[in-house]
Amino acid sequence: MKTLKSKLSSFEHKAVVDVVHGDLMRDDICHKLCDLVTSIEPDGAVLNLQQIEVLTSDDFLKVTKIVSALEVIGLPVMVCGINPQCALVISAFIDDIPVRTELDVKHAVQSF
Amino acid sequence: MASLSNNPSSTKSGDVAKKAQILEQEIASQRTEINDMQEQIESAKFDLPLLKIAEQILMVPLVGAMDSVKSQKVMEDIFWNIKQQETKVAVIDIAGVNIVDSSVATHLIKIAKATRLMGCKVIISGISPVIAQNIVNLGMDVTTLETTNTLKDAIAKAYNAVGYTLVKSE
Repeated sequence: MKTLKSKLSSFEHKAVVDVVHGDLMRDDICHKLCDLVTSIEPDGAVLNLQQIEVLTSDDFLKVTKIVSALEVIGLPVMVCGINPQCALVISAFIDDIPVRTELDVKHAVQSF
Repeated sequence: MASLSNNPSSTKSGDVAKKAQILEQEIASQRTEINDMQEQIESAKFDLPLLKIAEQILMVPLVGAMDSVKSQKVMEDIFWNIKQQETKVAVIDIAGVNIVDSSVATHLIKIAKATRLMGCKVIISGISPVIAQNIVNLGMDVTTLETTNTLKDAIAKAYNAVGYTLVKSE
């Protein structure tokens, strides 16, 4: 099975995942990403969507599923790096956005 | 005997009528273009003041009528500011807005939701009792909006949100 293209790094004991759009298309993204994040035993996780230029509401629902899965594991999660165009699309199509969002990784890590 | 359609004078008048029709269409399209350009000039005239009142706090006073063009401009300017200035809280003061109807409320909700995704909180100030009553009567769901009656309250909330506390000096 192919490995994820999304890159994992650690910043102040938080797992930072630079999510790439291709990975969001995969059916196994949720558990693969959970495996990836838990492998470094972090205090929390940041999903950085900065590399994603076009994010549909369906893609964002996948992101919320990943967030929920990580929260079930017991990790607080922040989502960051959503660009203005994506923000407009998501806010237009999704009424209740159940994730904590920040501007970038720095702000996300600070706000834990 | 030549048919009526082959009559040179009839053909000539038919050509003139066609040309007139084409010209009328051209005039109509140019009028539309002029109207569009005038609208663009009007919207360009609308200069939105963005006041950075403290570190990470932005204030946007809205005055006059609120429409989709203004709403779009407000949203774009706030987005730009979030990116450039790392704004965490945007206070939108609508005390100077003439009419707050469902369309204005919808625009404000849209701005608040989109900016929240970029990590910025929006506080709407200047909600008078009349506006509050209007919004309630319209049945708008404004639970996603953080609102205050006065600008003073909004600024206090904004300072709190970025970790400051306003204390009166002795």
